[in-house]
Amino acid sequence: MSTKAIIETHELTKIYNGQAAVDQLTFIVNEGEIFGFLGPNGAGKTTTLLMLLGLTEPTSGKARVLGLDPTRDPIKVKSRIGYLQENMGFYPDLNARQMLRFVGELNGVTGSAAETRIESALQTVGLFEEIGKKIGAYSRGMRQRLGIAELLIKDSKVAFLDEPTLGLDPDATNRMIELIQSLARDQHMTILLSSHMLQQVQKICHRIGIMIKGKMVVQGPIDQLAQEKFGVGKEKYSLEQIYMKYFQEA
Amino acid sequence: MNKGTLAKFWLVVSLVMLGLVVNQSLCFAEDEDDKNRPERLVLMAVEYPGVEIAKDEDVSMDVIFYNKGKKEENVEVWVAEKPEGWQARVKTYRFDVSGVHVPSGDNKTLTFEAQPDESVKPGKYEFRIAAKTPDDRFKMDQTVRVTIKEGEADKKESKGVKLTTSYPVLRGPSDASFEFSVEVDSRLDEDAVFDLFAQGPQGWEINFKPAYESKFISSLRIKSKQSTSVAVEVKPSTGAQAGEYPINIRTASGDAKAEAKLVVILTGTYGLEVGTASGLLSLEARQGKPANMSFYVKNTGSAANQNIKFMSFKPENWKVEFKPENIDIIQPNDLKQVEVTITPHEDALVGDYSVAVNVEGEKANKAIEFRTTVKASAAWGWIGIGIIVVVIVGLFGLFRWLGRR
Amino acid sequence: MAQGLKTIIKKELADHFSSYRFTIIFALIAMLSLITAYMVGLNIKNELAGVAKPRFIFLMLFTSSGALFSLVQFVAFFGPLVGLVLGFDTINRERNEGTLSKLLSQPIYRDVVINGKFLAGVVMIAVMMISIVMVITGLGLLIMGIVPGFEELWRIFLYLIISIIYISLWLGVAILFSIVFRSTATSALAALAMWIFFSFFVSLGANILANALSSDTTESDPDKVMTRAKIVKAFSLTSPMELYTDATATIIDPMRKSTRSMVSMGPLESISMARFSGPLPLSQSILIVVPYIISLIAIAVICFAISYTVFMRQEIRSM
Repeated sequence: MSTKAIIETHELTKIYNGQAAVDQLTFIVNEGEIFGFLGPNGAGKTTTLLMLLGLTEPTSGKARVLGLDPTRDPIKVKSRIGYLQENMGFYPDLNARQMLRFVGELNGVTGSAAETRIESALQTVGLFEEIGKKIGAYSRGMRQRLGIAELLIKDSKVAFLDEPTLGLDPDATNRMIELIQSLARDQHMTILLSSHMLQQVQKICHRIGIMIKGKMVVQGPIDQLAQEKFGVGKEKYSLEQIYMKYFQEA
Repeated sequence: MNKGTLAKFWLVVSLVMLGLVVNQSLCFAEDEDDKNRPERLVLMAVEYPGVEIAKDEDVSMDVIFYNKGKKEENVEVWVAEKPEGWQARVKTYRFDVSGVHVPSGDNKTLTFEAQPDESVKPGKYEFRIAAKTPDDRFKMDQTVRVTIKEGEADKKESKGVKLTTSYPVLRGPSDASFEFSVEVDSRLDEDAVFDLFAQGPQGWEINFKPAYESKFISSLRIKSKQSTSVAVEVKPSTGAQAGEYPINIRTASGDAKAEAKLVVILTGTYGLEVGTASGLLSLEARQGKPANMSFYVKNTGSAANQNIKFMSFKPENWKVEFKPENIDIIQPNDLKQVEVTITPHEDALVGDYSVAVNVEGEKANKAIEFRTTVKASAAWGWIGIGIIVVVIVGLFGLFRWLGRR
Repeated sequence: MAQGLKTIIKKELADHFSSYRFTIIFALIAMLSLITAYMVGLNIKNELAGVAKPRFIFLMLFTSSGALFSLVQFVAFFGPLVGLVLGFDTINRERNEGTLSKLLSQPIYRDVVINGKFLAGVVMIAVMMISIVMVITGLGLLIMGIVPGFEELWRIFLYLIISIIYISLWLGVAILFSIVFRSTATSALAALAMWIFFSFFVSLGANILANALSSDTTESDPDKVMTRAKIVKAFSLTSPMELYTDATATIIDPMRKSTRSMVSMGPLESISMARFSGPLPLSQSILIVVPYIISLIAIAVICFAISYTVFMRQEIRSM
């Protein structure tokens, strides 16, 4: 595992209406790793992702994504990051091909190259059969997979996945987890995964960060965190136990 | 009351009166006349106190009454003196008058008439017209002196009858009827019946009529030494050419005979007929494109019609052309064909328009109206359809190209 | 062209063309053209009766009010509605469906989103207006045989441009409201209220204001009447509809020499005006309306500027 930092923040702060949604956040995501971004609802995870994308300006602090400042260079940053938002945000009137074509065009992927990429991406996520179906008629799981296909179209080096397994049945969740793993493995994507599904996170994440009330209370590999909290030799503690411990402390 | 106070009193009165006069004259300028008038004043005057007439002539003149006073007056008037053998009277245009009413400031005019008898010889005669107000305040009289001159009246021809006419030559188109007025003057000493004869060109109709009556007569009775006016009505024959035609009229009663020569100058009739061979008066045209139509001009008159021009009453900006542009001469019953080219305005709207053509000869004219239906030119119509089709196709094209099916 | 603008325009146009709006606009085109052509056909002959030298008959196709209204009047009144319908849910619908942040997380500038949506709306408006004018032209050619002259084509072209700007202005207003208001219903109502205010209320208000400002309105003193008319005019000009009506009237009716409804002139002047009531040359007509066109564009630009500022400052979190 290389140690090149893809995402770096330094005391990143965002204040909404006098309340710090993100409070002096400092963390690093290294190239090629799956970083589990954990925390309760409203902890500021989505806000952090938006700041990293350049969609929201930080009140103070610095952020670097692929060595770029998302506030100054939002276009470059956005062209390299695939962002899979919580509610997917697909146009319900479009079918999968039209949606992916649209995204492709916005990212400068056009023509026949785009078509082949669309088809292979849909095959990868197992939606090729549904290529002409309107997204409005997709199930939630299908939409999430279409979101993964979108990342493939963009051919992004970094992916922000915001709750990709939310509301999925166990089978769909597993397929999703596998897809995410394959992204990191086959596409060498660096993935910032925000989720509540601690078991799945534990399965696939190389490192995690726990965010509570805008603060990153801890970050590091899971076994390292377990050691820190429960002592040496307790590496087998589940992530859930670690998480709850931190949560209670905060 | 001494003299001084009386003088003062009059001064005051006259000042007051003056004030009133000034005051009133400011209001009614006309009243100033009235103020200067005497209480009553009636005057009488005759128009011509002395006249000279020929024998057998009558005297007639105005008698004028003036009322220059402030009151209305009634005036009695009568002929006080007249010579023997005369009939004299004072009258209005309607009746004899013995009294007249004259309003204040006005005047009235009556007529004095005197007629001598046969017996009256040349010489001097005097008439006196008298007038007075009923209360005898005004009495007026006026003398009229009439001198009857020794006339040449006796020089008249002794044939006993005379035909005179003021207008012996009449001129008109050949389809008109001519009416001469002829005076038949009998010099016979007794009443007589005069026969009337006329001689004119072949086929002409010549009739005698009493003046202002429509019956035809062939003789008439005239009292001794009287004259009667007779109308001679002349109708030329239908085919009569233009020219000069003499007509002789004669009258005779016993030995008394008279002749007169009347002349009718026929100028010929002028008539034009305009129409199309088919009787169709409508045509179709396209905007800015000429449409042809031919019509004929026929001379229905008896004289040649010259210099016939064509005028057109057309919608604004239209062009109407004729070929030939005019006809120099067209003989009676002759037929000429004219080609008319109607060019509607380029921006004319589709629909019906009226184009009237006036055929104007020197002596006659005739109008004809063409109903011109402007049709959109086929090419533009197709372009119109084309534009609509382009729009529909364009919209569906956009729909297919951009819309998602 | 900014990156992605073309894509967004294409996508928006595709949305327009596949939505019911296209059907509605198509129906509008068909109905308006047919009704206008029919009414003009009924009336134009009456209007031309007694006109010594009818000119610009082609333009009368659009200005002749016929039985009910002319196309120009209709567009002035209801053109804004088309702009509003096309724009009232531009941004807030995307926001509500959660698609806006997807769009913004793509490598495009934010203004490209508004621009693209606006331009797509302009294209729709242009398609509609051009179609209507062309169909009326076609019908005029076909039924009445009215052939447009060269100058008339220029004038109708200018009319189209002004009309597109005018309706686009209202599209801009609608987009602004769709940015400001979260709910599509609210933005629709707000835009509608704005339309009613400027189209109907301002002219009413202008009179009331003029009454208040010029004390003695019953006075027949021409100076006072003129002052009053000027006040009414100045106030009315805050309404885009007035601007548009004035501008198009001068462009499409060459007999009009001024955009003012009331002109003070001496007796000699009025005699010479009446005697030489020829049409105004196109260049002069344009000169007269240029300020109006600029004002219309200025209002549209102001609308846009506000839209940008609001949209740029809006937090994505709240989307």
